[in-house]
Amino acid sequence: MRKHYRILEYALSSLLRRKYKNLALWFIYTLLVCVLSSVMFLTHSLKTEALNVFTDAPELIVQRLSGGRHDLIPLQYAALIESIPGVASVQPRYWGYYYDPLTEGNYTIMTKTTNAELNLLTGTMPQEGQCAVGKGVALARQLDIDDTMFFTLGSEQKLMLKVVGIFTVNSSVLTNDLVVLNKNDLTRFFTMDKAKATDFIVRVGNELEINTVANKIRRMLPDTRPIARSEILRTYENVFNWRGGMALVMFCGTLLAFFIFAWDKATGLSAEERQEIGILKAIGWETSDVLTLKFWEAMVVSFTSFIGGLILGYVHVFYLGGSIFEPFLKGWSVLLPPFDLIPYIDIYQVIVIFFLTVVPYLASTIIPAWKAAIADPDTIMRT
Amino acid sequence: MVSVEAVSKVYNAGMPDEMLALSEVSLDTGRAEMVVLKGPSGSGKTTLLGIIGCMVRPTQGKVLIDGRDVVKLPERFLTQIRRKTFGFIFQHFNLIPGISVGENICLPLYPTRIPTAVMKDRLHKILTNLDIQHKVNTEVTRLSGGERQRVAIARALINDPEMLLADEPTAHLDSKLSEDLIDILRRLSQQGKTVIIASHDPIVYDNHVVNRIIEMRHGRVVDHQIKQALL
Ligand SMILES: Nc1ncnc2c1ncn2[C@@H]1O[C@H](COP(=O)(O)OP(=O)(O)OP(=O)(O)O)[C@@H](O)[C@H]1O
Ligand SMILES: [Mg+2]
Repeated sequence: MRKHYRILEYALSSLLRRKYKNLALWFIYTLLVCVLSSVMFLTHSLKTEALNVFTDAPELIVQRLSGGRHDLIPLQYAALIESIPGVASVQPRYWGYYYDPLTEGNYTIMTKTTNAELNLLTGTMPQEGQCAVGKGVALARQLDIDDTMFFTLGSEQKLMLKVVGIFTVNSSVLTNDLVVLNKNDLTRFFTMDKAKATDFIVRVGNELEINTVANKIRRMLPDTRPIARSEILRTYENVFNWRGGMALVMFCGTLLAFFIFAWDKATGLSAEERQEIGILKAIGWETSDVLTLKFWEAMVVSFTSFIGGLILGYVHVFYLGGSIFEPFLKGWSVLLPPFDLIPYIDIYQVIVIFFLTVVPYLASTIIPAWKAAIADPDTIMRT
Repeated sequence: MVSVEAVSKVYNAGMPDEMLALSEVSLDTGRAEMVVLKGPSGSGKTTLLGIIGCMVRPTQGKVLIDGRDVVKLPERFLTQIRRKTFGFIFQHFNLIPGISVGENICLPLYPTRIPTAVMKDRLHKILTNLDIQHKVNTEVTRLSGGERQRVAIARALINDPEMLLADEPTAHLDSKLSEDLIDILRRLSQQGKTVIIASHDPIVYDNHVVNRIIEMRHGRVVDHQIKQALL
């Protein structure tokens, strides 16, 4: 124990002796871990968000098509669909998109549906003349509870709503760009036909019957399009379109890693380090003692930069919105108003990053040292 | 203590630059002796010192330390023997730059079970003996040649070895410092340590404190005189 403590102490003083080299190494290493962990955090977080979207999504949505495009659906279709065996309930939804010229963002405007298990962070569900907004909208328009929000369409269509609630970040992708308001306000604003809805949410009692029900609806009402949950997920993936970006980022990370190891290998053990190992051997250090020393040296550098890089990556992704990757991920940052990712940390990921970074560093330090340490110490007698 | 029996050393065997550095060398040393290996450059002094100190493996022959042949022992045992039996003073001191005098001296004890308090205690005694206690926290590259020499000696003594091996210890010293050094080594030999010095410096080998002079040439022992009976 005492022995290890003294060797550790010596390892620290050795690191300090070569502080510029080690600092440079530490810095690059931290950056590498930061990039890798950012990628992992981002990927994982987006995946989790997508999964949330998936589980929150209705089992079946029925839209009406006219001329191949999404059109409003007559409310009398609801009764017809409800009569299909296996259908538990049909619920009309009213929603639309709103382009906000002020913040240049696209918002989703919808009425409250029982299906959406959207918790309010604060406030209540909106009545007539009121609305609840997602976190992204609130941030973009600098809104707080009791503030008033304006909507304009052209010159004559105007809507003034009092903000009564702001959505929690439980799933920020789902609620971030959302404005929830009362049905009357919405239909008036969008000048919708009173006898029509935007689409229907169809609840099916048995998961396995979803496709059968969808086929029956299609046959009964040929101008409708039933969309199952699995298709919605695919749509979301398209929206995020982060896969290409991720590949690029991964590539950059790997390139950086390669660069470090090439550099490390090229520098390898300096003559001075080799000499030092020879001296230690000659004055009675065993090979295992030298390896312990090198292990501690490598461990201190790689572990601290591992932790440092991890924290940096975490801050970068969850507090700075992964801004380094923005160019790669333009896809969703343009489509959606900016939103904070919800921090999800997976211990498994952390272990993967550990094995990708700390372990190769340990190996690349210890192996050359081991080679130097098993050589006869006599060479140092003639230096 | 140590006896070397018909030891040969070939460097780079089988290569174009094959070199017979030692050829059938034998010698014996007793306890508390002061031995000088003398001879011109390239005669094999350093090589022989390395073989005695278990740092160089001989190509042939036996090296007995306290009656035990160490030639075939695995590296791990040799390290232990080096640590317990020998203190080595290298020709170029081989101190580790960037760390203090105290750290350099204590380095051989770091990987041992010796308590840190005992280590500090020994350090203090040795530094006082060698009169460099005021330099304990100085970085070694700031020391003068004579001071470095004493630090190298202190490091060789910290593990309380039975035998001290010194390679050209006066090479970097003026005659006054050389005399001081020999005085230090004489005191150590009087305390019961065997001292073996490789040197071609007359201040060393003509010194009256030397008991035994082994003269080498071309890797062979050409003369072996015992100048003075042990007390
Ligand atoms: N590792 C080696 N490889 C090849 N030849 C070597 C090696 N080490 C020593 N020699 C050769 O062995 C011979 C003896 O070397 P050694 O260092 O023992 O001589 P020395 O008596 O200590 O000389 P000096 O007084 O110059 O230090 C020399 O000719 C040297 O060139
Ligand atoms: Mg020599």
